[in-house]
Amino acid sequence: MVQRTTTERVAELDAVFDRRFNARVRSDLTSDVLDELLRNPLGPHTDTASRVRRALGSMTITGKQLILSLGPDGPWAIGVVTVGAPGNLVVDTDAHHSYEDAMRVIFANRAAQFAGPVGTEGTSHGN
Amino acid sequence: MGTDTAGLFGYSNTLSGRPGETLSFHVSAENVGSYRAELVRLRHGFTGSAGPGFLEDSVPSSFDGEYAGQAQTCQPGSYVEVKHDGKLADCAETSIRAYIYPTLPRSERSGEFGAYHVSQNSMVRDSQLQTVLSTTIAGEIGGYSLALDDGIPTFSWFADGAIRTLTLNQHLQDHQWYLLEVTASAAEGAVTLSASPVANIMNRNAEATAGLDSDFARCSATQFEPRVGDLRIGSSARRVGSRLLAYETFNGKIGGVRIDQLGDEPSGQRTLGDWHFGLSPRSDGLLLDVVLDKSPHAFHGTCVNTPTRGVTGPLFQGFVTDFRRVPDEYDAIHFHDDDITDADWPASFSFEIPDGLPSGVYAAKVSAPGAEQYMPFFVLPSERKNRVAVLFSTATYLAYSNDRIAFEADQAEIIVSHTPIVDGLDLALQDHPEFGRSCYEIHNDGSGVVFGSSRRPILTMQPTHRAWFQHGGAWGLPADLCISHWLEHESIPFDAITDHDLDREGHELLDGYDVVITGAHPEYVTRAEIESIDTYLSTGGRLMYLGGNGFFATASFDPEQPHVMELRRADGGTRPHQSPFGDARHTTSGEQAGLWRNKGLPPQKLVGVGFAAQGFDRSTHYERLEDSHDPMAAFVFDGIASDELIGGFGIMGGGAAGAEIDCYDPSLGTAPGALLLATSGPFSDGYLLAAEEVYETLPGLGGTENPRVRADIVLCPIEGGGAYFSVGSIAFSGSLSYNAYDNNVARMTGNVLQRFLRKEPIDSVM
Ligand SMILES: [Fe+2]
Repeated sequence: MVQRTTTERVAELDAVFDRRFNARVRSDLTSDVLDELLRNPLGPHTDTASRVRRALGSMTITGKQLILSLGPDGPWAIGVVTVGAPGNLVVDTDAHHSYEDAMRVIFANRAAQFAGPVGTEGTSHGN
Repeated sequence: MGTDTAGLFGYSNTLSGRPGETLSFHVSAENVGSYRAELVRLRHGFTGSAGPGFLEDSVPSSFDGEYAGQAQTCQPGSYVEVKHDGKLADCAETSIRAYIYPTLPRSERSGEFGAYHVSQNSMVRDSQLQTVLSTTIAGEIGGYSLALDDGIPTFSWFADGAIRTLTLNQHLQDHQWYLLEVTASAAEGAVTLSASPVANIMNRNAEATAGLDSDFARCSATQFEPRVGDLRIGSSARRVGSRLLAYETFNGKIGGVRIDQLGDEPSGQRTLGDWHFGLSPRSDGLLLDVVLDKSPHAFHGTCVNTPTRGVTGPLFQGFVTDFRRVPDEYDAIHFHDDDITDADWPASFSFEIPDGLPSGVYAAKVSAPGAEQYMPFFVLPSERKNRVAVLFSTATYLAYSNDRIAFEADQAEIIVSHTPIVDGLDLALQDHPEFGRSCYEIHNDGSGVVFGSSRRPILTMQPTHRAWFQHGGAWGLPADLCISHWLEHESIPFDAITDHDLDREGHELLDGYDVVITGAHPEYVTRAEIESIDTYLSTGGRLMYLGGNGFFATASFDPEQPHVMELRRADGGTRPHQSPFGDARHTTSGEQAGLWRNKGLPPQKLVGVGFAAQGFDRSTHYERLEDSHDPMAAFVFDGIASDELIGGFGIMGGGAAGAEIDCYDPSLGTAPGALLLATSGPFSDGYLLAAEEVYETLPGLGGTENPRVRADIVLCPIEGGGAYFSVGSIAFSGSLSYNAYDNNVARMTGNVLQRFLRKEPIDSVM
């Protein structure tokens, strides 16, 4: 038998957790919850919406979206953390009128990623 | 460095000075031919229209003018530099011994990930070599080097102008002590290299189960070309201009380093160098930058870029954790390839602070098309002129300096309950990993960053910077400028003083001020500062603590290099990472790391409130409590209705109570006579009870469930005429300017200041 590494074993545990966690998040991520987050990105949120918001925000940092402030009062752009890009951020060309608008776009993106195409497992939240 | 982007970066040699003292400024100009330098007075930082906007006044100065731009190299990597008289130049008949504890022998990080779970490193390493000790210079012939090559011990030397290497077979495990031994002998015609595991309580794995083996290699060698130059422990060197910079730096601990001359007979060994990293040349036993050589040659070394001393060595037993008491157990230094406490750039210009320059917040501003940089500093009064002093939180600025968490940690978004909002300065910081990390981060090897320094560009200390964790993001210096600009608006002249000055000069610095006002976030303070403020208050002084999370955790300044601040982390309470067992004592002061509340000095004992919770979604207002109607407190609420909510507005999160917040707690020392004037409105569950309040984790730690998640305002008269007024919230400072300073936060704060400026004791109702 090939010797397994501690890294592989830890990854196996993460995968077990992710499977359970993602199942719970997908069941919590109803259109009502998404509406609540989009309506009021900074909250306060109901318990279920808070749980979903944390799940949507806990993805691994590589490839994760940040909001970039472009001026004293905005606008705001969305960037993707990419080591090696200028500023380690690949910045989207769309400018948003408020940071809350940028948060809305991010919520919608991540919710779509999490849900995945119907019948699939969707994207792991990572660790 | 961006390939063709214009950039100006710089720092001052010190953060404060008095008239007559000279500051130097060190500038690197990237793709900038020439730049303009001028002195400005910084009046307000936050640029948004929710406040007065960015305000600076140009002040004519001796350094005004145009300067030729020159790019400088900032090279991280810590090491010990050993000057010698030539005896260490070659290894023709020598044996070398070093104990090592690699923490990043290969590219995969295996240490802790910190409180925010760092899963990505935005600093890219460009070599798989890590140097244990070396006399070589990259690209030059001569000398020798003991190193790890992708985690495998290797020894290299020069013969016939070419490099030769002897390499072992096995990768070393991380977080495990090993003894490395080299013999090199032209007479014998051989080099040998060995690595043997060493039993130690701090090894990660149990000895019986770790699967460790010794390793040995030998090869023939007859020629060893010397290089006359310094020996470096923990790093090799590369030449850039006239400087020799750190190169292929070690990550991990090194100790017990010894170099012997091989003799003809067994007893004929002569010691060339025998360094003891646990010994101090000082009577107080502190481990600063001097490294002692016990050999007759006394080839003492100097630490560069502040590697971490006072860490457990190969002889550590686990009973005593004070490096001063068991120096032999602390014969180790932890080096990091991303340590940087002095960019060591040449001075571009200097400035003798002229007599008559009013005390305040200043900056040397350098600018060119497409680039500008402020190098902030504080001018202290020459002789006391003003009745009010503002204590700027330079220790906390250094703790947060060059924070990169939003780009590296999975949980950055979780701690602030929203997607981090970064700004252009954060991107410039990402393009300059060489400017180093904040004390909230972990090094490339996973160990925590425990030193901050002002001798490197600090982009988070630019007056316009916004922190990623709070929308509105005035934090550190920009938040404190909200307080100083409020004073300007009130036409109250003030003197600027800093943590560095108060630590150095003690309570005499505060003597004679009628009122001392803190910054928004005086989180990290030294014992001398706490004692000074205590003395000030007990001798009639009046303190306005206009911040949150204040007087919270132990900082120390290096007594010989005060631009270096030390901030280790204990294994309890709110902490972004924690020092390993045995490594939690400050080598620059002897202080045990950690929260002052765990060292007998809770903030409540000093200022009535202490850290309770933090959150970064929305701030809230305060509501008045019964004591606010006590006649003694009437002055505070003059002009404010009895049922008025206070501060439901502001730059930071939209309210005066928020971000990091403090609560009233008699059990932690809030005085019986302290009036509890107000408490915060409701917080979301994004605000969570501080870790030091959690003995066992019980459900219900969020703001909607936990009664301790709150910010309280207290007023306390003190016998002898002193008093303090504490608001327990970082966001408070961001509410002062709302509606052009016409609001109840500014009103209340102004009421307190005006009353505190009158001599009559606070407990005499007027
Ligand atoms: Fe803090």
